Amino acid sequence: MPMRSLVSSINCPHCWTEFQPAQVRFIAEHEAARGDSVLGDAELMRFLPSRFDARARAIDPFGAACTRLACVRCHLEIPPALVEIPQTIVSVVGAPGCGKSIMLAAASSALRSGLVVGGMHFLDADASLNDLTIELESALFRSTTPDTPAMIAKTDLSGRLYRSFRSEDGVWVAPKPQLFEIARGESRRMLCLYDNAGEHFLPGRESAQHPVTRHLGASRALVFVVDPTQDERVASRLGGREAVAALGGSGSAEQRQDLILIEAINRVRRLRGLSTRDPLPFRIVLALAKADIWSSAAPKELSEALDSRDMGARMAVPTRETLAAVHAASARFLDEHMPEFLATARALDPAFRVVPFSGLGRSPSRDAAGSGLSIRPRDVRPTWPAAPLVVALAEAEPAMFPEYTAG
Amino acid sequence: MSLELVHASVEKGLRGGAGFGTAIATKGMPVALERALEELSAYDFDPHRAVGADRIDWAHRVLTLHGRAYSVLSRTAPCGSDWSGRPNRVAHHIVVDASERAGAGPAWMLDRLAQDRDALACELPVVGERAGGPSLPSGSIAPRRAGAWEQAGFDPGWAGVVAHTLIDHPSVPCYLVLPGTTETLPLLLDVFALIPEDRRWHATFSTRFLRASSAVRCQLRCIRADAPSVRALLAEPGVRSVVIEPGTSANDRAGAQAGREGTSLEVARRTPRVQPVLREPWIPHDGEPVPQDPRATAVASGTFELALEPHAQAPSAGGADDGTPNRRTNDRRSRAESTHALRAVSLSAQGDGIVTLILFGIAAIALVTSLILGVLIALRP
Repeated sequence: MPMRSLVSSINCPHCWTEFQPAQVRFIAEHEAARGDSVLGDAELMRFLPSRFDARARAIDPFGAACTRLACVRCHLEIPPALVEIPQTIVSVVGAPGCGKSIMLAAASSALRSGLVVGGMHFLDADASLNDLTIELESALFRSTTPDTPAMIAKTDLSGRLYRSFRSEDGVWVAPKPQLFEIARGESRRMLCLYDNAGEHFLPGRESAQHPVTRHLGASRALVFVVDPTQDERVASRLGGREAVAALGGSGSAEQRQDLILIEAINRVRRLRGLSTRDPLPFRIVLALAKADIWSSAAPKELSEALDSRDMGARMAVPTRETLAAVHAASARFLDEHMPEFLATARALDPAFRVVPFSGLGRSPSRDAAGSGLSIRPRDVRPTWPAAPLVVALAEAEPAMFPEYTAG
Repeated sequence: MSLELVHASVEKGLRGGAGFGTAIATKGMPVALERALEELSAYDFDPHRAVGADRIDWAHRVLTLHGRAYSVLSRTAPCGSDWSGRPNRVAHHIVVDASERAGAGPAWMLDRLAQDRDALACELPVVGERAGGPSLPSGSIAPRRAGAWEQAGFDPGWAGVVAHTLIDHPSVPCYLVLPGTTETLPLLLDVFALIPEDRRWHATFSTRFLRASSAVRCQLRCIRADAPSVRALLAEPGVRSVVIEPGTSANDRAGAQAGREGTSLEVARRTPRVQPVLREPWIPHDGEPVPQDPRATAVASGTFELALEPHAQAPSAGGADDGTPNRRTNDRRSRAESTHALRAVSLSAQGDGIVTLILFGIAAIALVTSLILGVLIALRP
């Protein structure tokens, strides 16, 4: 029988409870074992096994061999690879409408293509658990109807993106994690991402029974998606709010993205018990979204770097030198148009990094009624879609991506 | 007083911030209730993925919060695009006070509110707080032949079958599987007309079902037969389903006749064969042999049955319900409650013996103590 080496502890990707692999629950396979104390009667029973067969599969009370695993607290299913591969949680944070979902879909689609980082493998840990990302990708990036205009829907605050469970006499809501197995050379990691609604990060929106942003307490990297088109000064430079909205920008005057960044970092400190003097446990990566819209207002070297015609160059993560040059140019752009945001980021993490990207590569258009935005999947040409994520991963796992660290 | 909340993606919500948030709320609405209503506002836009049978989600759900049950009427529907150019939806929830519940039932109330253009938000509303709750219609409807079902091409008997399922198994989820996207509210109006008036607010439904938290009860879930995950839903243990196909007769299924003739369905009330608590002392009749304790007899013969009144499922009862009750849960609950009742009965039967035993013990201890004291006094130098 092949040997399996287990990780020392598992962080549940649903409820972020830390537990040892020996405590992991198995999910019964026998239909008669319907009904679970935490998830309700529709789910199969979760149990701590005491009997195993010759292949180390647990035997449920009705004699069926079980292979599916679940968390000790929330009883939600976790992929079996999680007991073997160390996990890296990357928190993707940003204001409502800044482009988080599009970035996740574009990044995962690009990473699957193998064109982004040389020698890197990117696989779904469990396709049934990753249905959300697969749906987002198939809407725009792998559409079966490439000529039919489409758009990714706004991430809702409740519904199918969340799961609820009963624990400690309460009903808790957990966001659905998207888990990917990434491998490069000898290194393997379990990448865990969440598609939170931007509203979850607004100050005062955190709720004890609805701890959907608690991954901030366990994440090893933070990508803060910035939408420059939401800023009045950038919008003015681009011809006004109406013009920006027509190009697919958001342009909400009330969106203070610096406050959302402060709120996110405060939650990181609170959840980890860090004092205000303690350094952050990770480097902040600012992902400047919708570059196709605002690049005309950016420094020349930045707009030229983003305007590459070569498909391979647009998909791949730029070299360290290019990333450094782009960081400097992006920082100048922010300093010129959003100085208070740049000052906030610098105050929170002096070693922050800025990576611009465009999830769609060109502006969506208004529909016939003139209200909804959509784009033909055939026209989607992302620019550096996975760069912010890979840079964040490089900061979290420098041994795995040495060429993308800040140096 | 009833309360209302409108939830949508707005540029600046009532509580600040852009995006999904509260647009309208009745002043003084508890924060926890507002959060819970926010949870009920989700809408799945993807026509291939959504299982709901209607484009609009008309719903009457019972929400349990901190041990209190709230009857919530909702309308959730798409409403163009939001400030960011993405599809928007507007959810209007009305928490109906017990005194304002129309005898005609929740489906009728939703239908009447829908006819009043200002009553339910169909488009993005002006953000603001309202001083008072909404004015709600009142009225009643008599049982009638299920005309809407007939118009939709279905046997009207199916309305009776659905109504019968709702009142016969009040705590069991029931999937109403319709052949395609259908205007469901008129069908539900017919169903509720067949349900006795005092039972109408006990029935919950959603015409575009989306799984919610376990603190929400939704009994009748209208889904499309061609939705991708229908099989998985119907395979859930203990759920009931009524599958409607055009041109298919309900035959003589329970309740079908009521749907065709427009007669009210009877609620089958279970009565206990044995009262678990002795309300009257047992008096032997002349010549009748003195039996053992009648409670013990009932237990021994296995005829003891706990009567679960249907009212136990009412929203006003305030009891927690996990939203996905099934037969196993109810059976298990009944068994558990029966066991507790039996224990209470047998404890009560043993009560006299225990008192005697305690008195005897006290007397024995007193006797032994006095003996020891006597010996000590006698041996004192």
